[in-house]
Amino acid sequence: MTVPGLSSTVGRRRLPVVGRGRGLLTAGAVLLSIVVLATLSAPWLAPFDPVAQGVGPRSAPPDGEHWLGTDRFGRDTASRVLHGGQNTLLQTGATMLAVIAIGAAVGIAVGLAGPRLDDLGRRLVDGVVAFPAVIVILAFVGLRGPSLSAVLGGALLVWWAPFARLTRSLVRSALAESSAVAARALGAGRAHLLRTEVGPRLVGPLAVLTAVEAGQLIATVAGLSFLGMGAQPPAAEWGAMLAEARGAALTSPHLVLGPGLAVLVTVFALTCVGEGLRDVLDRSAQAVAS
Amino acid sequence: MTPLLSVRGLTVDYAGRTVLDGVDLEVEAGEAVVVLGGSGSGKSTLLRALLGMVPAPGRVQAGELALQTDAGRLDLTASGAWRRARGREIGMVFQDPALALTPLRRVGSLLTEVSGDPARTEPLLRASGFADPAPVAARRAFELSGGMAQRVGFGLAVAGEPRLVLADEPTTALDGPAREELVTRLRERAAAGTAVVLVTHDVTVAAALADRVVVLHRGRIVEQGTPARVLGDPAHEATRSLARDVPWALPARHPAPRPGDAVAIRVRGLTKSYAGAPVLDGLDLDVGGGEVVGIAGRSGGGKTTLLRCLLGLERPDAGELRLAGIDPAAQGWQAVRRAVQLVPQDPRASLNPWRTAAQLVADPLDFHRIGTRATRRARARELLAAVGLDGLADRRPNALSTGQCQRVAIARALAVRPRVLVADEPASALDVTLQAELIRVLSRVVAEHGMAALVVSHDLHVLERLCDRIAVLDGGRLVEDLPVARLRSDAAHTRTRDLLAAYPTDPLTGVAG
Amino acid sequence: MRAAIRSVAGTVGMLLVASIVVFAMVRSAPGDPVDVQLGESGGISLSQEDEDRIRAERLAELGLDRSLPEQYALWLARMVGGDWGTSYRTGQPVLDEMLDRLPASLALGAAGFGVAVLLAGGLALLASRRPDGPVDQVVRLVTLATVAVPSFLLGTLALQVATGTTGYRIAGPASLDRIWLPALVLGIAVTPTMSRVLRASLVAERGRLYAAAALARGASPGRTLLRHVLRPALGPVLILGGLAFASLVTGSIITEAVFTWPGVGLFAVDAIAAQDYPVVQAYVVLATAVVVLVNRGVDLAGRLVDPRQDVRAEAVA
Repeated sequence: MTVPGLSSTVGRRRLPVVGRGRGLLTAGAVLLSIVVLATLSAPWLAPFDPVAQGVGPRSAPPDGEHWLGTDRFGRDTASRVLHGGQNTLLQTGATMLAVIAIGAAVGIAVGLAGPRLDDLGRRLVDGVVAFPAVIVILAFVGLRGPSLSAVLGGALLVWWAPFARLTRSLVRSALAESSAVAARALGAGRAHLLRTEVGPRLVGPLAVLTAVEAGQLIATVAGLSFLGMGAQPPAAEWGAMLAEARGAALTSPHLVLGPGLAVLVTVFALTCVGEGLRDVLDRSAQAVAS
Repeated sequence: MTPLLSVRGLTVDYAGRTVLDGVDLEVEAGEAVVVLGGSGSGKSTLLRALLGMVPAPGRVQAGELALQTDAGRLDLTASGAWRRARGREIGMVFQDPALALTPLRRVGSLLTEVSGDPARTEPLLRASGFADPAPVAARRAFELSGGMAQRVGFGLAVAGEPRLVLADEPTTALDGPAREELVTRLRERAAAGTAVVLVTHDVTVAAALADRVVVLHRGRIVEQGTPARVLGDPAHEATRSLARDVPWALPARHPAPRPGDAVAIRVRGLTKSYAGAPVLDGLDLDVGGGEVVGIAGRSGGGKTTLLRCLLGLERPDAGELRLAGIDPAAQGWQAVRRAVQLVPQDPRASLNPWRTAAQLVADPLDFHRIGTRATRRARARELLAAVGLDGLADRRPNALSTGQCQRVAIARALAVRPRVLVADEPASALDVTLQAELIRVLSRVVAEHGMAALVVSHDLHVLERLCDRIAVLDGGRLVEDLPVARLRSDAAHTRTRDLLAAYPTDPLTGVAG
Repeated sequence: MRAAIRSVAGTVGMLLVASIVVFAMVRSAPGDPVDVQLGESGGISLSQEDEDRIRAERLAELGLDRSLPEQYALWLARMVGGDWGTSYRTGQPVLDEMLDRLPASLALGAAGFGVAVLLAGGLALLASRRPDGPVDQVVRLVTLATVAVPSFLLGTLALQVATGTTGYRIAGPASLDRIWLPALVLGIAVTPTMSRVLRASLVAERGRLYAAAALARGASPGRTLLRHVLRPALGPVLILGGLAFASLVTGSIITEAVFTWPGVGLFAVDAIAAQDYPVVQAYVVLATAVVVLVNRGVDLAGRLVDPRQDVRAEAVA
């Protein structure tokens, strides 16, 4: 007879799965590539001239000819979204690069430092991470006036912190690994340890964080632009389009839809990439450990 | 008399792979059965099956699986039977006592949950070895030391007054004296009428505890009998390999130290405290050239701290060090490391997973700038060949077996031709066969190169095989320091005596037969 | 007792540091605040003499002719004393305006948090029962999708649907019958992060040896969950609660704007657009103070729930 084996808390099943790991990563990467390619090929892809007014009826909801409708000047929203994407993505991309560079530098410095400096550094970084970025950005914008660069500048002030925290934590844990301790005991210097012990352990999680935080940044910038804090119309940029749309949100809600969807798809793609990458890394970490 | 536990035809398979294959087992009340098996034998699965805790997707089948209780025969295959049996009829002692306790719960609360009676908490703790149970009951589980956790774990296992106590490799994480204590308690339980089924790969435990030894190999019982018979005259190859590689069966070290060589290690007044608690307290140590000295002591007694201070991984609060004639305070640790190298405790973990064996062995040459890139590479391959790993030079650790990793670690330590080797708990992370091999290799290497060595271990058998001299660390100092040949006869300190008692010369003699 | 004093001292310290940062930002604003004030005074043309005189007066008033540390001390004293200046737009004392609107923001925040806790808790419990099982995967995809939806999009769409179907009033005072929709939107925005962390924590704790040990000692699965697993699992969640609060503050600003909810966030946003500096400054100070206090509170709560130092430190990483 079969004894019912309790599906207990000891041990877990690994189903061959769709919503995890490789699948998620691939899906996200593909989606992201589509977004990037679409915005890059806007001059050829867009059906209408983004600045041409009156190519369609004013403030018309989406229909067969204008897939995302038109704005109050009769400009085709879909074309504007495609063109605007370049600007948005490039600027946020550049900000992210700066953010990662600053964050990693701070993180490594603190991670290699002695206990007191490390404690101070950790507290500082944790403090910045815990602080709502939006408030800082608003303060920045409030004093410099609304513009996309003000928003991104404000973001720069805080967005580096999660990277610093992650880097510091990874540096410390990598150096505490048996292989790092053994290497040190054999005479390894800091450079060697950073290269062989910290480096490989840093790449994966950093990539995951980058994807996730990039998505967050785009979403936050979009949200603030919607409030009129970011890019100002008539710039061809998602944030500026959102600012315009807010004014007309009650009468023509579809104006939010265009750039809103663009933001959604991009953030979704980035989040999928991040989560998928995280799964793949967890999986391979487990394989090494067992 | 009806046996307390009757198991017939127990079979467990996971997705087509059979882990237990038709195991029959009968245990009488008051009988202590030790199930002996190496890794992959299925011994842990056996215990889980007895508790009804085989994880999905395992399938369990049995012709019979029953327990005799006060209320008559309990058929464990019936639904709801496990709920009644666990804790009350069957208790379990886990491998890692600290991990098996819910961290934030208080000890007293945990005990009451199992026993159902708060008044029994103090008697239970006392019976588990606590002279003063009240403060322990108030503590939260994460605040307990390793030894205390072990005792509490035992208390929890017997809190429900079970008729059967299971134990899953309970001695693996323990040092000699702690192991002795646990075995004694289990013997007492058995004497009082409880049946004990203990699963392990450690032959010493089998010798000390068992009324009957059952050898499990690849999911099948291959032989059983009294410990004297099974271990003294094993019939099956599996049993032989478990019994053969035990450290006390290995030959002792032969060569004598070379006289006149410079002092290899000199320590004076080494002191280190953590959070106010002293770990090392003015420790003095001398190791002569070509001499192999062992440091023995209990787990958590400061051996690791001593090691870390000697390797420059930790800065002591006070004390002088002279390693291979070099004073690190004056000449820096890099100079020391050129002459003093480490053989780490866990070979696999000590190797960077992204580097190949050749790179790992060549690394120390890089660190100390010895030779040119070409000569370093050549020497690395030479060293790997010397330890029997040529052809594997370009493999990464995850493509090497644990034994091969061990040899890479040794080759790495020998690369710069050190004058002193420091070995950290050699073989504690390995099973008996690998342990034996490591002891052999280390002995050979040290003798061939005339190195001095310092071996730190809680396992006295290992030290007796490797060392010329053994010093015992207790209370932050070395309390005994004798040549190996005289250790057993002349030891005076209580700590030494405890250790000697926990590591008898031949655990198989004097066994209850 | 000593620990309590240290904790309070620490909080005050953090508040001071934050205030210095805010002050630095305020003073680094380009443009002359006096000019702005002069410009806003109704466009009455003044003679050069008058202008100079008023300028000097204002400078003295604002303390701009003193040294920086003195300015900071003055500014801090004013802030603590409740003099937050006067709004350029409304002409009312900023403190009063903020206090008027604060209850609305707090109500929205609390309601949103409540929604998030319920949703996240429920989802996490469901998902953690069978890790990697079908329910877990569905929950995961759902949270993934939700994270990507910008709250302004969600809010606008929700508003459209609600006005169309239930006759939800688009604008109006902060009343009970209007709070449910923005609270829902806000809660949904914050749920994914919370549920993910709670699920991960639950799964991790359930897989630990002590959970199996509890079962082996006779506890029922339900009892094991409640009495053994839950509390250690909550530790990381409380820490993340602090970060969730940050998301709440962020989300509430946008939600207030979309739903025209008369709270502090909306007020601040309008102020920024109109360059109403006193309000902006006051908002930043207020928000900073609240965040610091809440984080300290969460830290304290975390310590009560799980006194293990190393576990909490790890959870944040």
